[in-house]
Amino acid sequence: MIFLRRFRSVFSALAISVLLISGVGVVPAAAATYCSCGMPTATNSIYRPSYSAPWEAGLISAFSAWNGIGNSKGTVKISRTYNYSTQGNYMSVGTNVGSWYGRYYRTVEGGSHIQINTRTITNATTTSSRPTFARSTATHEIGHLLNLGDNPGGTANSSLMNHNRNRLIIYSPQSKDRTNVINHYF
Amino acid sequence: MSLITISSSQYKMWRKSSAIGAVAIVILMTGCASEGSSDLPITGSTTEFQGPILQGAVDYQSYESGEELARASRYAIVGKTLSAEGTWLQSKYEGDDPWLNPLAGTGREPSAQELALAATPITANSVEIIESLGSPFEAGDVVEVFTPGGNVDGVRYEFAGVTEFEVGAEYLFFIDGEDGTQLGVIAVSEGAFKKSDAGGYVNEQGHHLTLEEASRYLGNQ
Repeated sequence: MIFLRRFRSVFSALAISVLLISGVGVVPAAAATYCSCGMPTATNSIYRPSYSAPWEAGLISAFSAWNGIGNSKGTVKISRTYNYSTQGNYMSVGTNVGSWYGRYYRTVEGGSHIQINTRTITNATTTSSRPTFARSTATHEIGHLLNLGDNPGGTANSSLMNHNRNRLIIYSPQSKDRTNVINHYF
Repeated sequence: MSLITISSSQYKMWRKSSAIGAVAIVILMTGCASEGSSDLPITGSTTEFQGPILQGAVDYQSYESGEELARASRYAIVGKTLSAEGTWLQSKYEGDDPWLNPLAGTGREPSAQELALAATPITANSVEIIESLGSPFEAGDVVEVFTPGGNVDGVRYEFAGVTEFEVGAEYLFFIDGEDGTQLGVIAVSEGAFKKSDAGGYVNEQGHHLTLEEASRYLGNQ
Protein backbone atom coordinates (compact mmCIF):
# COMPACT_ATOMS: atom_id res chain seq x y z
CA MET A 1 0.00 0.00 0.00
CA ILE A 2 2.78 2.37 0.99
CA PHE A 3 4.70 1.36 -2.12
CA LEU A 4 1.65 2.11 -4.25
CA ARG A 5 1.21 5.53 -2.64
CA ARG A 6 4.84 6.37 -3.24
CA PHE A 7 4.59 5.11 -6.80
CA ARG A 8 1.57 7.34 -7.35
CA SER A 9 3.42 10.34 -5.90
CA VAL A 10 6.47 9.73 -8.06
CA PHE A 11 4.31 9.10 -11.12
CA SER A 12 2.30 12.30 -10.48
CA ALA A 13 5.48 14.34 -10.11
CA LEU A 14 6.90 12.85 -13.31
CA ALA A 15 3.68 13.51 -15.21
CA ILE A 16 3.59 17.14 -14.10
CA SER A 17 7.26 17.57 -14.99
CA VAL A 18 6.67 16.17 -18.46
CA LEU A 19 3.76 18.55 -18.96
CA LEU A 20 5.82 21.50 -17.82
CA ILE A 21 8.80 20.60 -19.97
CA SER A 22 6.73 19.87 -23.05
CA GLY A 23 4.58 22.93 -22.56
CA VAL A 24 1.44 20.87 -23.06
CA GLY A 25 -1.44 22.42 -21.19
CA VAL A 26 -1.31 25.01 -18.43
CA VAL A 27 -0.23 23.63 -15.10
CA PRO A 28 -0.77 26.23 -12.40
CA ALA A 29 1.83 26.95 -9.77
CA ALA A 30 1.99 24.53 -6.88
CA ALA A 31 0.13 21.87 -8.83
CA ALA A 32 -0.26 18.62 -6.94
CA THR A 33 -2.71 15.77 -6.60
CA TYR A 34 -1.88 15.38 -2.93
CA CYS A 35 -0.54 17.81 -0.39
CA SER A 36 0.98 15.59 2.32
CA CYS A 37 -0.63 18.02 4.71
CA GLY A 38 -3.78 16.11 5.58
CA MET A 39 -4.83 13.74 8.30
CA PRO A 40 -3.84 10.07 8.34
CA THR A 41 -7.38 8.72 8.27
CA ALA A 42 -10.58 9.67 6.44
CA THR A 43 -12.60 9.84 9.64
CA ASN A 44 -12.17 13.25 11.22
CA SER A 45 -14.02 15.54 13.55
CA ILE A 46 -13.59 19.30 13.40
CA TYR A 47 -14.16 21.69 16.25
CA ARG A 48 -15.54 25.12 15.42
CA PRO A 49 -17.35 27.85 17.30
CA SER A 50 -20.95 28.72 16.47
CA TYR A 51 -21.28 31.55 13.97
CA SER A 52 -23.93 33.78 12.44
CA ALA A 53 -26.80 32.12 10.59
CA PRO A 54 -25.46 32.55 7.03
CA TRP A 55 -22.10 31.06 7.95
CA GLU A 56 -23.65 28.20 9.85
CA ALA A 57 -25.57 27.13 6.75
CA GLY A 58 -22.47 27.19 4.55
CA LEU A 59 -20.26 25.38 7.02
CA ILE A 60 -22.80 22.62 7.64
CA SER A 61 -22.96 22.01 3.88
CA ALA A 62 -19.16 21.93 3.67
CA PHE A 63 -18.87 19.41 6.47
CA SER A 64 -21.34 17.04 4.86
CA ALA A 65 -20.03 17.44 1.30
CA TRP A 66 -17.29 14.83 1.64
CA ASN A 67 -19.22 12.29 3.69
CA GLY A 68 -19.91 8.95 2.08
CA ILE A 69 -17.15 9.16 -0.52
CA GLY A 70 -15.40 5.82 -0.59
CA ASN A 71 -15.83 2.22 -1.53
CA SER A 72 -16.33 -1.16 0.07
CA LYS A 73 -13.17 -0.61 2.12
CA GLY A 74 -14.40 2.51 3.82
CA THR A 75 -15.88 5.96 3.45
CA VAL A 76 -15.04 9.53 4.42
CA LYS A 77 -16.60 10.71 7.66
CA ILE A 78 -16.33 14.40 8.55
CA SER A 79 -18.22 15.53 11.64
CA ARG A 80 -18.38 18.46 13.96
CA THR A 81 -17.20 18.08 17.53
CA TYR A 82 -18.08 20.40 20.36
CA ASN A 83 -15.05 19.41 22.41
CA TYR A 84 -11.89 21.31 21.58
CA SER A 85 -8.60 19.44 21.69
CA THR A 86 -5.14 20.83 20.96
CA GLN A 87 -4.44 17.70 18.93
CA GLY A 88 -7.68 18.03 16.98
CA ASN A 89 -8.91 19.91 13.93
CA TYR A 90 -10.12 23.46 14.26
CA MET A 91 -12.05 25.72 11.88
CA SER A 92 -12.27 29.47 12.38
CA VAL A 93 -14.07 32.15 10.41
CA GLY A 94 -13.04 35.80 10.62
CA THR A 95 -11.69 38.90 8.91
CA ASN A 96 -8.09 38.40 7.90
CA VAL A 97 -5.25 40.10 6.05
CA GLY A 98 -4.40 38.92 2.56
CA SER A 99 -6.14 38.13 -0.70
CA TRP A 100 -6.82 34.49 0.18
CA TYR A 101 -10.30 33.08 0.75
CA GLY A 102 -9.34 30.13 2.90
CA ARG A 103 -6.28 28.35 4.18
CA TYR A 104 -5.35 25.16 5.89
CA TYR A 105 -2.30 24.09 7.83
CA ARG A 106 -1.17 21.47 10.25
CA THR A 107 -0.48 22.56 13.78
CA VAL A 108 2.56 21.64 15.80
CA GLU A 109 0.28 19.91 18.27
CA GLY A 110 -0.66 17.37 15.58
CA GLY A 111 -4.03 18.80 14.59
CA SER A 112 -5.02 21.15 11.81
CA HIS A 113 -6.45 24.61 11.40
CA ILE A 114 -8.85 25.70 8.66
CA GLN A 115 -9.33 29.43 8.39
CA ILE A 116 -11.99 31.19 6.31
CA ASN A 117 -11.51 34.85 5.37
CA THR A 118 -14.79 36.75 5.60
CA ARG A 119 -13.34 39.97 4.15
CA THR A 120 -12.22 38.58 0.81
CA ILE A 121 -15.27 36.37 0.38
CA THR A 122 -17.59 39.30 1.12
CA ASN A 123 -15.70 41.56 -1.29
CA ALA A 124 -15.66 38.99 -4.09
CA THR A 125 -19.36 38.25 -4.06
CA THR A 126 -22.86 39.61 -4.09
CA THR A 127 -25.28 38.83 -1.29
CA SER A 128 -26.96 36.18 -3.39
CA SER A 129 -23.76 34.46 -4.54
CA ARG A 130 -21.98 34.62 -1.18
CA PRO A 131 -23.37 31.39 0.39
CA THR A 132 -22.25 29.28 -2.56
CA PHE A 133 -18.84 30.95 -2.73
CA ALA A 134 -18.30 30.48 1.01
CA ARG A 135 -19.37 26.85 0.76
CA SER A 136 -16.90 26.26 -2.07
CA THR A 137 -14.09 27.72 0.02
CA ALA A 138 -14.85 25.76 3.18
CA THR A 139 -15.33 22.49 1.28
CA HIS A 140 -12.04 23.09 -0.58
CA GLU A 141 -10.20 23.49 2.72
CA ILE A 142 -11.64 20.25 4.07
CA GLY A 143 -10.23 18.69 0.90
CA HIS A 144 -6.76 19.59 2.19
CA LEU A 145 -7.58 17.90 5.49
CA LEU A 146 -8.19 14.82 3.31
CA ASN A 147 -4.70 15.24 1.79
CA LEU A 148 -5.80 16.71 -1.54
CA GLY A 149 -3.39 19.21 -3.05
CA ASP A 150 -4.11 22.39 -4.96
CA ASN A 151 -4.53 22.44 -8.73
CA PRO A 152 -4.56 18.75 -9.65
CA GLY A 153 -4.91 19.80 -13.27
CA GLY A 154 -7.53 19.44 -15.96
CA THR A 155 -9.96 22.18 -16.77
CA ALA A 156 -10.61 24.85 -14.16
CA ASN A 157 -13.93 23.34 -13.14
CA SER A 158 -12.81 19.72 -13.14
CA SER A 159 -11.78 19.88 -9.50
CA LEU A 160 -12.89 21.60 -6.33
CA MET A 161 -9.18 21.92 -5.57
CA ASN A 162 -8.36 24.14 -8.57
CA HIS A 163 -7.66 27.76 -7.68
CA ASN A 164 -9.20 29.06 -10.88
CA ARG A 165 -12.45 27.09 -10.57
CA ASN A 166 -15.73 28.95 -10.74
CA ARG A 167 -16.64 28.94 -7.08
CA LEU A 168 -20.29 29.56 -7.85
CA ILE A 169 -20.48 26.36 -9.87
CA ILE A 170 -17.90 24.13 -8.22
CA TYR A 171 -18.72 24.00 -4.53
CA SER A 172 -18.67 20.26 -3.90
CA PRO A 173 -16.17 17.46 -4.61
CA GLN A 174 -15.97 16.60 -8.29
CA SER A 175 -15.38 13.16 -9.81
CA LYS A 176 -11.62 13.75 -9.86
CA ASP A 177 -11.64 14.77 -6.18
CA ARG A 178 -13.67 11.75 -5.15
CA THR A 179 -11.33 9.44 -7.05
CA ASN A 180 -8.25 11.03 -5.51
CA VAL A 181 -9.63 10.69 -1.99
CA ILE A 182 -10.54 7.04 -2.58
CA ASN A 183 -7.12 6.28 -4.04
CA HIS A 184 -5.42 7.87 -1.07
CA TYR A 185 -7.37 6.30 1.76
CA PHE A 186 -9.08 3.12 0.54
CA MET B 1 0.58 46.70 14.07
CA SER B 2 -0.02 45.95 17.72
CA LEU B 3 -3.72 45.88 16.95
CA ILE B 4 -3.50 42.89 14.72
CA THR B 5 -0.48 40.88 15.76
CA ILE B 6 -0.29 38.79 18.87
CA SER B 7 2.76 39.41 20.94
CA SER B 8 1.31 39.28 24.42
CA SER B 9 2.88 37.07 27.01
CA GLN B 10 -0.58 35.66 27.67
CA TYR B 11 -0.85 34.22 24.18
CA LYS B 12 2.71 32.95 24.11
CA MET B 13 2.26 31.24 27.45
CA TRP B 14 -0.95 29.63 26.26
CA ARG B 15 0.64 28.50 23.05
CA LYS B 16 3.86 27.28 24.64
CA SER B 17 2.05 25.23 27.25
CA SER B 18 0.76 22.96 24.54
CA ALA B 19 3.60 23.42 22.07
CA ILE B 20 6.48 22.30 24.26
CA GLY B 21 5.10 18.82 24.65
CA ALA B 22 4.00 18.76 21.05
CA VAL B 23 7.44 19.67 19.73
CA ALA B 24 8.85 16.78 21.69
CA ILE B 25 6.27 14.49 20.10
CA VAL B 26 7.07 15.92 16.69
CA ILE B 27 10.76 15.19 17.13
CA LEU B 28 9.95 11.66 18.22
CA MET B 29 7.61 11.23 15.26
CA THR B 30 10.11 12.43 12.70
CA GLY B 31 12.94 10.54 14.33
CA CYS B 32 11.06 7.29 14.60
CA ALA B 33 9.18 7.40 11.34
CA SER B 34 10.27 4.85 8.80
CA GLU B 35 7.66 3.34 6.52
CA GLY B 36 4.58 5.46 6.27
CA SER B 37 6.44 8.65 6.99
CA SER B 38 5.07 10.10 3.77
CA ASP B 39 1.76 10.36 5.60
CA LEU B 40 3.24 12.72 8.16
CA PRO B 41 2.86 16.40 7.46
CA ILE B 42 5.96 17.18 9.43
CA THR B 43 8.97 16.91 7.22
CA GLY B 44 11.56 17.54 9.93
CA SER B 45 14.62 19.69 9.87
CA THR B 46 16.43 20.97 6.83
CA THR B 47 19.86 22.47 6.53
CA GLU B 48 18.28 25.92 6.33
CA PHE B 49 15.85 25.59 9.19
CA GLN B 50 16.48 23.64 12.36
CA GLY B 51 13.07 22.65 13.64
CA PRO B 52 9.74 21.13 12.70
CA ILE B 53 8.33 22.06 9.29
CA LEU B 54 4.56 21.97 8.85
CA GLN B 55 2.74 22.06 5.52
CA GLY B 56 -0.30 24.09 4.55
CA ALA B 57 -2.25 25.36 1.57
CA VAL B 58 -4.05 28.55 0.57
CA ASP B 59 -7.15 29.00 -1.61
CA TYR B 60 -7.12 32.15 -3.70
CA GLN B 61 -8.00 33.46 -7.14
CA SER B 62 -5.15 32.61 -9.48
CA TYR B 63 -4.31 34.60 -12.62
CA GLU B 64 -3.12 33.42 -16.01
CA SER B 65 -0.95 36.47 -16.73
CA GLY B 66 0.58 39.56 -15.20
CA GLU B 67 -1.82 41.68 -17.18
CA GLU B 68 -4.86 39.84 -15.82
CA LEU B 69 -3.52 40.15 -12.28
CA ALA B 70 -2.77 43.87 -12.67
CA ARG B 71 -6.22 44.58 -14.05
CA ALA B 72 -7.77 42.90 -10.99
CA SER B 73 -5.67 44.99 -8.58
CA ARG B 74 -6.50 48.36 -7.07
CA TYR B 75 -2.97 49.58 -6.51
CA ALA B 76 0.67 48.57 -6.46
CA ILE B 77 3.94 49.63 -4.91
CA VAL B 78 7.55 49.29 -5.94
CA GLY B 79 9.64 48.69 -2.87
CA LYS B 80 12.73 47.21 -1.34
CA THR B 81 12.28 44.53 1.30
CA LEU B 82 14.08 45.48 4.50
CA SER B 83 13.30 42.54 6.74
CA ALA B 84 10.97 39.59 7.25
CA GLU B 85 9.69 38.41 10.60
CA GLY B 86 7.35 35.59 11.46
CA THR B 87 4.55 36.29 13.90
CA TRP B 88 0.98 35.37 14.76
CA LEU B 89 -1.83 37.32 13.17
CA GLN B 90 -5.19 37.54 14.80
CA SER B 91 -8.54 37.47 13.03
CA LYS B 92 -10.83 40.42 13.58
CA TYR B 93 -14.51 40.34 14.50
CA GLU B 94 -15.99 43.79 13.94
CA GLY B 95 -19.24 45.28 12.66
CA ASP B 96 -22.86 44.25 12.32
CA ASP B 97 -22.66 42.52 8.93
CA PRO B 98 -23.09 38.79 9.68
CA TRP B 99 -21.00 37.92 6.64
CA LEU B 100 -18.05 40.13 7.58
CA ASN B 101 -18.36 39.45 11.28
CA PRO B 102 -19.49 35.85 11.81
CA LEU B 103 -20.25 36.64 15.45
CA ALA B 104 -22.69 39.45 14.60
CA GLY B 105 -26.13 38.63 15.89
CA THR B 106 -24.94 35.68 17.92
CA GLY B 107 -24.87 37.69 21.13
CA ARG B 108 -21.36 36.67 22.03
CA GLU B 109 -17.82 38.04 21.84
CA PRO B 110 -14.80 35.91 20.98
CA SER B 111 -13.15 34.45 24.06
CA ALA B 112 -9.42 34.88 24.65
CA GLN B 113 -8.95 31.23 23.77
CA GLU B 114 -10.95 31.62 20.56
CA LEU B 115 -8.85 34.60 19.51
CA ALA B 116 -5.67 32.72 20.27
CA LEU B 117 -6.81 29.65 18.36
CA ALA B 118 -7.86 31.68 15.35
CA ALA B 119 -4.43 33.32 15.08
CA THR B 120 -2.34 32.05 12.21
CA PRO B 121 1.35 32.16 11.38
CA ILE B 122 2.35 34.87 8.93
CA THR B 123 5.46 36.71 7.84
CA ALA B 124 5.52 40.48 8.17
CA ASN B 125 7.71 41.80 5.37
CA SER B 126 8.94 45.33 6.00
CA VAL B 127 9.06 47.17 2.67
CA GLU B 128 10.46 50.64 1.93
CA ILE B 129 8.46 52.19 -0.88
CA ILE B 130 10.39 53.43 -3.89
CA GLU B 131 7.40 54.28 -6.05
CA SER B 132 3.65 54.23 -5.58
CA LEU B 133 1.28 53.17 -8.34
CA GLY B 134 -2.05 54.56 -7.20
CA SER B 135 -1.50 53.58 -3.59
CA PRO B 136 -2.11 55.79 -0.53
CA PHE B 137 1.63 55.66 0.20
CA GLU B 138 4.57 57.79 -0.84
CA ALA B 139 8.17 57.04 -1.69
CA GLY B 140 10.13 56.61 1.52
CA ASP B 141 7.21 55.18 3.52
CA VAL B 142 7.85 51.84 5.18
CA VAL B 143 4.90 49.44 5.17
CA GLU B 144 4.40 45.86 6.24
CA VAL B 145 3.26 43.34 3.68
CA PHE B 146 1.97 40.07 5.12
CA THR B 147 2.38 36.65 3.56
CA PRO B 148 1.05 33.33 4.89
CA GLY B 149 3.42 31.10 6.84
CA GLY B 150 7.01 31.61 7.88
CA ASN B 151 9.15 30.82 10.89
CA VAL B 152 7.23 31.37 14.12
CA ASP B 153 8.18 30.18 17.61
CA GLY B 154 10.74 27.69 16.33
CA VAL B 155 8.38 26.11 13.79
CA ARG B 156 8.40 26.64 10.04
CA TYR B 157 4.96 26.86 8.39
CA GLU B 158 5.15 26.28 4.64
CA PHE B 159 2.15 27.03 2.43
CA ALA B 160 2.18 25.58 -1.08
CA GLY B 161 2.73 28.29 -3.66
CA VAL B 162 3.82 30.90 -1.13
CA THR B 163 7.37 32.11 -1.65
CA GLU B 164 9.64 34.07 0.65
CA PHE B 165 10.75 37.48 -0.49
CA GLU B 166 14.46 38.16 -0.74
CA VAL B 167 15.50 40.75 1.81
CA GLY B 168 17.24 43.64 0.06
CA ALA B 169 15.65 42.94 -3.31
CA GLU B 170 13.33 45.25 -5.23
CA TYR B 171 9.79 44.11 -5.95
CA LEU B 172 6.67 45.33 -7.67
CA PHE B 173 3.88 44.33 -5.29
CA PHE B 174 0.22 44.33 -6.28
CA ILE B 175 -1.43 45.03 -2.97
CA ASP B 176 -4.61 43.89 -1.30
CA GLY B 177 -5.66 45.96 1.70
CA GLU B 178 -8.74 47.77 2.84
CA ASP B 179 -7.43 50.63 4.91
CA GLY B 180 -3.81 50.83 3.88
CA THR B 181 -2.53 49.31 7.10
CA GLN B 182 -3.20 45.62 6.63
CA LEU B 183 -1.47 44.78 3.40
CA GLY B 184 -1.39 41.48 1.60
CA VAL B 185 -0.23 40.56 -1.87
CA ILE B 186 -2.81 39.92 -4.59
CA ALA B 187 -3.04 36.19 -5.31
CA VAL B 188 -0.70 35.47 -2.38
CA SER B 189 2.71 35.25 -4.10
CA GLU B 190 1.60 35.73 -7.70
CA GLY B 191 1.30 39.47 -7.10
CA ALA B 192 4.96 39.84 -6.14
CA PHE B 193 7.18 40.63 -9.13
CA LYS B 194 10.92 40.73 -8.46
CA LYS B 195 13.08 43.17 -10.37
CA SER B 196 14.77 41.41 -13.27
CA ASP B 197 18.31 42.01 -14.44
CA ALA B 198 16.89 41.89 -17.96
CA GLY B 199 14.55 44.77 -17.17
CA GLY B 200 11.05 44.90 -15.77
CA TYR B 201 9.71 42.63 -13.07
CA VAL B 202 8.99 38.88 -13.00
CA ASN B 203 6.87 36.80 -10.61
CA GLU B 204 7.32 33.17 -9.58
CA GLN B 205 5.06 32.03 -12.42
CA GLY B 206 7.39 33.69 -14.92
CA HIS B 207 4.96 36.46 -15.81
CA HIS B 208 6.73 39.67 -16.81
CA LEU B 209 5.61 43.27 -16.39
CA THR B 210 7.22 46.65 -16.88
CA LEU B 211 6.22 49.60 -14.71
CA GLU B 212 4.61 51.20 -17.72
CA GLU B 213 2.49 48.09 -18.32
CA ALA B 214 1.62 47.80 -14.63
CA SER B 215 0.43 51.43 -14.54
CA ARG B 216 -1.60 50.99 -17.70
CA TYR B 217 -3.33 47.77 -16.63
CA LEU B 218 -3.85 48.62 -12.96
CA GLY B 219 -7.52 48.45 -12.02
CA ASN B 220 -8.49 48.69 -15.68
CA GLN B 221 -10.73 45.65 -15.97
